[in-house]
Amino acid sequence: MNILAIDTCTEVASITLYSSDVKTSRKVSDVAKSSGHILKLCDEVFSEADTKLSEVDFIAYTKGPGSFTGVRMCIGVVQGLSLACNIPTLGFSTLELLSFRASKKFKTQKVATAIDARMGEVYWAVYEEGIVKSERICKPEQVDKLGAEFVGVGSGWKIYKDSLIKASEIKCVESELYPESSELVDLSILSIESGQKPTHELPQPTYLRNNVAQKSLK
Amino acid sequence: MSKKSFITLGIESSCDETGIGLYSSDRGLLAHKLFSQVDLHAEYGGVVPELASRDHIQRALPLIRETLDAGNIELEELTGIAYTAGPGLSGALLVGGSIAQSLAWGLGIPALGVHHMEGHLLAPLLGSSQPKFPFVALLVSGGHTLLVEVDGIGEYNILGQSLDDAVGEAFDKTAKILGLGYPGGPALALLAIKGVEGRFDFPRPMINRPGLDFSFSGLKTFARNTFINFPKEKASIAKAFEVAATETLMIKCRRAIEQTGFSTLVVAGGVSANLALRQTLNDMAKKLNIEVHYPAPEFCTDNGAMIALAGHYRLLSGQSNDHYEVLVKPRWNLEELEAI
Repeated sequence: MNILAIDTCTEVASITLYSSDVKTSRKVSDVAKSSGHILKLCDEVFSEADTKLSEVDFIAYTKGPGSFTGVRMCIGVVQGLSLACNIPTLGFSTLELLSFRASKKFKTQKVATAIDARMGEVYWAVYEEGIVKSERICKPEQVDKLGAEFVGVGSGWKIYKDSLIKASEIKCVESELYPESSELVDLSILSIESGQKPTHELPQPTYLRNNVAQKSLK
Repeated sequence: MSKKSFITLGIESSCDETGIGLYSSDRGLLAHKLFSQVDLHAEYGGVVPELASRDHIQRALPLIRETLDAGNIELEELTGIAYTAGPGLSGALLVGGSIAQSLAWGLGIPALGVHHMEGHLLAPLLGSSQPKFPFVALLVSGGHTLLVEVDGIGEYNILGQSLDDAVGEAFDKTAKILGLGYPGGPALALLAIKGVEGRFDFPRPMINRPGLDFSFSGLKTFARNTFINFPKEKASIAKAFEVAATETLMIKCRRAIEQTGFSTLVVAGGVSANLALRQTLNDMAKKLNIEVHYPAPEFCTDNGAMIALAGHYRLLSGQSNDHYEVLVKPRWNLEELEAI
């Protein structure tokens, strides 16, 4: 199975080509400046793996939440690649991917993910036994009360550490952990094994923050 | 053996319209499709950049499929992809750019970010009566008011531009003052037909100064003050505003023609659809014995056909973005373009 995995939704963007059981990855850390080079990275991983886009079985991607521009960059690139070679796609929440990564890294089934959503809010999700729930945007004071058996991950834990710890009662925190496309490959394989199917439907973004404009009084 | 046909897909997403066009080297424009977000933004009284970007990402790909179907073209027949790289709203431009570059990379064909205003000024070339270089171009829309000396593709010298509001913006803002909703420019033009000419005399901004720059914000303020004093005379205020704006544009065009010695004027952009402006410029052209060209009405507003056309010329000359970089330039001076 050949899988192309793309994530550009948060501060760190990455792309992984999984081919012949080998992962070839590229990562850039300054997304605002370098996400425009995502296709150059694409070129590099395909050349290194000596594979063609037309040989990819499906594209796994993160659909958000995250930086609006980063989310759309990811969706736009996936839409274009998918159209070019009629490749089906499979989208995952950024929060799910980060939770999945954290669960492997910390060998736990209990993860609370908080990504900085700016404007005093976080994108929040609770991951338990492989299932993501309670995904929403909220103030740090409004997150779920979980307890010390959970691990807190994501950029939100750096900026709103005190408020999040107080509200969630979590003690173990790792804020310098980002979603990564190599883990997206593993997550997508697990999903396929559990019956999910890539689709030819239009890849869609997930913003969570939907109140982005004020209506005119007139 | 038949000569190879070059077919360019054009993607426009710089503001509140998603436009797709297909241009062929031997058959001209094959198809184009447009989705306008006007209704989406109307309740906000102006374009909301984030909402514009969110809509573009939903519309662009289905519109590409529709346009290919309408032109009876398979993806594999495309030889290049052009997208609007600027000027415009950063997030909106990135949508078109990311789709264009990834599609081009996947198909193994070149892609290029093109200048939105170059698309507008070349739009009359989509019609049957094509202007010949050199010419003076008046580009008038909600975002721009430019007078440009055009010696060839990419050979642009800006002669004048608005120092404040673009003329289309002044139309929309004046319409809002008169309670005509958003975007009210076309509604203002309709209302002006019922107005009494000469009832009010609005100033012609900056015509007594040398040079070819414009200023329209004072005209809008003048309309507001007149409306406060004569709230029941909306139509005549609309008429006075339209006459003053179009005459000001005409006076500057006449100066530009005299200054350059050119005998062709091209008028493009959303405001070029305004009938009063066309009448005023046609009268001037007759007196000066010059030609004046406008795009077909469907190509006056933002559209993908003009981006396909502008990109087509540049791609054929060998230009393309290095490494399929998703490059956007929200601010981009027309004079920075390379000649081809």
